[in-house]
Amino acid sequence: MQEDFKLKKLILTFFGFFIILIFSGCQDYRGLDEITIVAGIAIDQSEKNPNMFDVTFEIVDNDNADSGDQPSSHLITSHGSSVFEAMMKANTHQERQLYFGNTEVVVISEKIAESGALVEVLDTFLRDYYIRDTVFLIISKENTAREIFEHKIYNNKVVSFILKNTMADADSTTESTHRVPVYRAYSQVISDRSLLTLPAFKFFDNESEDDESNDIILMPDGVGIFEDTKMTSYLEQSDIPTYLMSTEDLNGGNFVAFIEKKKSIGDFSTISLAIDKTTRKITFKPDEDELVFYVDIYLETAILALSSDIEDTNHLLLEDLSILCAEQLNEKVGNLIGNMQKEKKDIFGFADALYRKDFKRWEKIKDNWDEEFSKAKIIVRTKFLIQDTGMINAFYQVEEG
Amino acid sequence: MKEKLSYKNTFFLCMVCIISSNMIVGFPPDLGQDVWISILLSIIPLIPLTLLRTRMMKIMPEMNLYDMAIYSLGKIAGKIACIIFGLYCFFMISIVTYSFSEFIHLTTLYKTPRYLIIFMFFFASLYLATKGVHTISKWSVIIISVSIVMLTIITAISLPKIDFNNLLPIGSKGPKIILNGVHRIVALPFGEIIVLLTVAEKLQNGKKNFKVQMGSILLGVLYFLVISLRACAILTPELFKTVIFQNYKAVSMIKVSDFFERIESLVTFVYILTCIGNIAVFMTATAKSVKKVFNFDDYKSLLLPLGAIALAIAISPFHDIVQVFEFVHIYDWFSMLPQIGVPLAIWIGAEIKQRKKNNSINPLAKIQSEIDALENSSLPQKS
Repeated sequence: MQEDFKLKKLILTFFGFFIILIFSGCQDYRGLDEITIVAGIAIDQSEKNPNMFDVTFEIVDNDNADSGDQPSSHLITSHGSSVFEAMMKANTHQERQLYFGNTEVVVISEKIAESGALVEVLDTFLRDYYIRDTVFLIISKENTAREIFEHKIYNNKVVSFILKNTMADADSTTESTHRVPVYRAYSQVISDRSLLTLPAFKFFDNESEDDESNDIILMPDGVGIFEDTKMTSYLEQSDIPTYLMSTEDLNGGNFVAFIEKKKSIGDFSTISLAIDKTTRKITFKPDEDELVFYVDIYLETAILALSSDIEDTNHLLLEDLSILCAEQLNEKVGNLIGNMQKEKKDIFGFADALYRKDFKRWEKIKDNWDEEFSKAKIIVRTKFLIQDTGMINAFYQVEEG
Repeated sequence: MKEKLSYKNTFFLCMVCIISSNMIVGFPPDLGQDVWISILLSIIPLIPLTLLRTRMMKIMPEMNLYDMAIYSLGKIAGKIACIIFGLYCFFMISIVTYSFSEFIHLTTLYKTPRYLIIFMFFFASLYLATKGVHTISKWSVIIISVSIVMLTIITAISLPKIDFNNLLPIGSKGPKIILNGVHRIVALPFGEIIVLLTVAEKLQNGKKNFKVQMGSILLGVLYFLVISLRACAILTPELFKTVIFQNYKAVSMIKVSDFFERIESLVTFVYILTCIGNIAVFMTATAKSVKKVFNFDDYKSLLLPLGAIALAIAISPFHDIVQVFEFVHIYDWFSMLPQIGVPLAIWIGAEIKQRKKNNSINPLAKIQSEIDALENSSLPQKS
């Protein structure tokens, strides 16, 4: 009797695990030898028919996976009247099934971005069951999106993986770019408040003397600004560090401020700060008659390099330096926001701040938001905390003339 | 005769009824970031409904809902009430099975025929139902504990993805949408707790009954608050409104560095476990209804044929998942009859019967019983 009970329990336990396993497992699991891993997707407007899409897939070559070398890639292109159709056609023509579980980036051409087809692209990727909603979207500043994958840079590595790594580290540097996953882009487009910005990439001549293996290098080059669903302009890469500091919380980066010299040659020397952490907040004052926003940026930093004739980095001096840096960042952010106000392009999230703080007022002015934004009073308040001065306290002084 | 369910097991059985169906259907999308207001407000109508259930169990002890219906409404009206409630439970088997199978089909097993998924749910639930209410309640203890552990882990690792600004502005949806949301949330998921009355003869009938039911409702409210706020804060209110499986989609966005991602399978795992428990409860309730209407001796022998018919309906009640969500709007109103109308009628009938009974007792006997009670209370207590 006891043994029967045990056997029954054993069978039931097995049955239970069997059900759980088959329900949460992958019936359509395929081995590496049966799938074609798509690392990235590039979407272009067809040259033959502007109503059609050319979709290029960067395929990871698994053949050298055992040798320990970095995987390389090759491209396949398919055409269709929708992105989905092109993807299905590519699947049909492949010996092995396309696998999108490891797709890291979706590159769209400038033409696609400017034509307003972005929504169709976003819809395809959010609706599709196989593609992750967290893939990053970027704009190609080359002639086509495909060209981004065509250049085999960095010892023939997979370009999509390089782009993904650049994006993954984006919050730890001010020199990178704004990163936008598909689901964020979609929600920003349908919310119809602040404008969507997407990072743009292009190839630059490699000026590095250390790395002679590559004559070109893939780098971010500003962000594209979308009004409704169409890209209308770019924000220059030189403005990106300021833009990032005013719109994102960063975990790294650097900031250089200029200090007026007292004695040394030339007018200015510099203080270079390593940013440990930045936090930013946009607040709206609901009581005011006119629209008044505050942009508060707080930076925790450390001195990385200091070339000046300041005699000692004592506490009082650090406070002065903090104020000096804050003034200069204030000016930079203020100028950038001012320029965007002139162009009536809210890329900072002021509309979102108003919507969240004073919904009724937003409802009243939302149809005329561009105009209201251009007239809004925006006060930037920056605060630097210089936490340490590195391994040295004093510094080398330059004697006058 | 088996012992009655402990308060702990009753608590977890209530929780299974509450949390399972909502996992798939989610919250009314129109609510957006105001979903938490509707969830909290839903406690207000739930208090009288819980009092109603507790009162019914008190004045009609050792009876389940079907016995209560016959007792208070008489044979004909009582049997009609049994049929209405039985049909509700019967359709719930089909609807819950369909929606869960559709969820598995869309998110995990796209190429697996849906029939196969439905069959697997059916057999697991049927087995659980045949083992009786005690086994279902024990199963509930395990799955609810697992659900709460999963909820805690997933919420902790989703914190970096959460943007609390997405929960603003508060109250922007207006009272109409918020109150409609309350109605939906009371009907589904909290309304399903009514099915507990179909096994009321197995429940303890003490003073704690109200506390146990209210406790499970409050824990359910907390559970839904965490899930809905997490989904809204991760997805943004706009995406919350657009996506079908809000909680699943929100969890699929969670990524901790490069090594910990795609944890939505944990959500699927919890869904499957609770779904099996929920279908088993509805199967038991349906079989008990048929047993009462046709005066059968045992309900367990009815589980297989009734389940099979419900299964046949579950295979094709809707053309697509959109119809499921459209049906939810009808369900809000349709469910009021079995969830509120039938219990209310039974309660009123029982109260009238009780009053008549009290009035018909001989006044002299009544006085004598009061004297006996007084004497008993004044007797010295044994040490």
